[in-house]
Amino acid sequence: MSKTKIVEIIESAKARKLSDCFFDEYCKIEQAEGVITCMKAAAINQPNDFNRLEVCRLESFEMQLSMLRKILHNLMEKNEPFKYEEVQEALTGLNIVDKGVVTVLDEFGKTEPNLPPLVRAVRNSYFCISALIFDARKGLHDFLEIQIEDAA
Amino acid sequence: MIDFEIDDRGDDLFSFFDKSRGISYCIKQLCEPLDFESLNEIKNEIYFVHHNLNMCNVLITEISERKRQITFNEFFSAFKCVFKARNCMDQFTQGISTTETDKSELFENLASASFALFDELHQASTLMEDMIENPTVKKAA
Repeated sequence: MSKTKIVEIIESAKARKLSDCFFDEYCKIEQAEGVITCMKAAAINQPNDFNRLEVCRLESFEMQLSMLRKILHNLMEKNEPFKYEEVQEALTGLNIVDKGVVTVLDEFGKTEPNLPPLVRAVRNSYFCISALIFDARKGLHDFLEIQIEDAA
Repeated sequence: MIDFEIDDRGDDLFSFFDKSRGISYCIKQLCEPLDFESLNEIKNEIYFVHHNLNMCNVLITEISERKRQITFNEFFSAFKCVFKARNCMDQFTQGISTTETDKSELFENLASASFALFDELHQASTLMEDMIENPTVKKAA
């Protein structure tokens, strides 16, 4: 990231209220959770062996995202500056979820090209979740870069 | 004629489109077995969105697979379908932010998924608009 970009982000962060800092990231995680709920319903509606495994995986992602959303919510509610470690904790959690989603997407890749409609829909939704997590990770990562810059 | 053979935006379009179809299918599956009056609106919207996306699915797949040349008229009708779906979700999501009567977990998850769907549809329709307004010009031999 360029120096100018970092200065730009610091200025915009200063202009925002402290509680607004992680709002975008919070929304992305919330959207991912919503999509996962729908994917779970889709998998439950048409049960077979593949879907049972899928439901378990989705439930695990749902739990992890819900926990991360709560961490961000707590950070947003604080009226004091964030500690590096607190944000790092959320970022580490997101990295773990991201790794899990990438692994699932790799598995889907092996079964292409003739996927049944449900499996295709679930796979495509995983792509969406991956994109949402990427955005949230980027937001937290940029925030931490600013912290390092400030400390320096 | 729009030449998609030399336009990489077709791949991005397919990605946004495929994600939209995936989410709309899953939302449809979630709503279908439920018989609550409060879900009627989202059910109608999602059927409309899904129908419109299905109508242009073959064409957008062909664009990504670069199977054949696509005419402007074909592409424009696909754009209309995506745009209609986008507008439908836009209206629905705007309604969510103003009416906060139902705050069940189910509705909250549906609302979040609808925002994600709108985002994907918006990106797809913006990209298609750009492809129409700034088509790639084939270089002279």
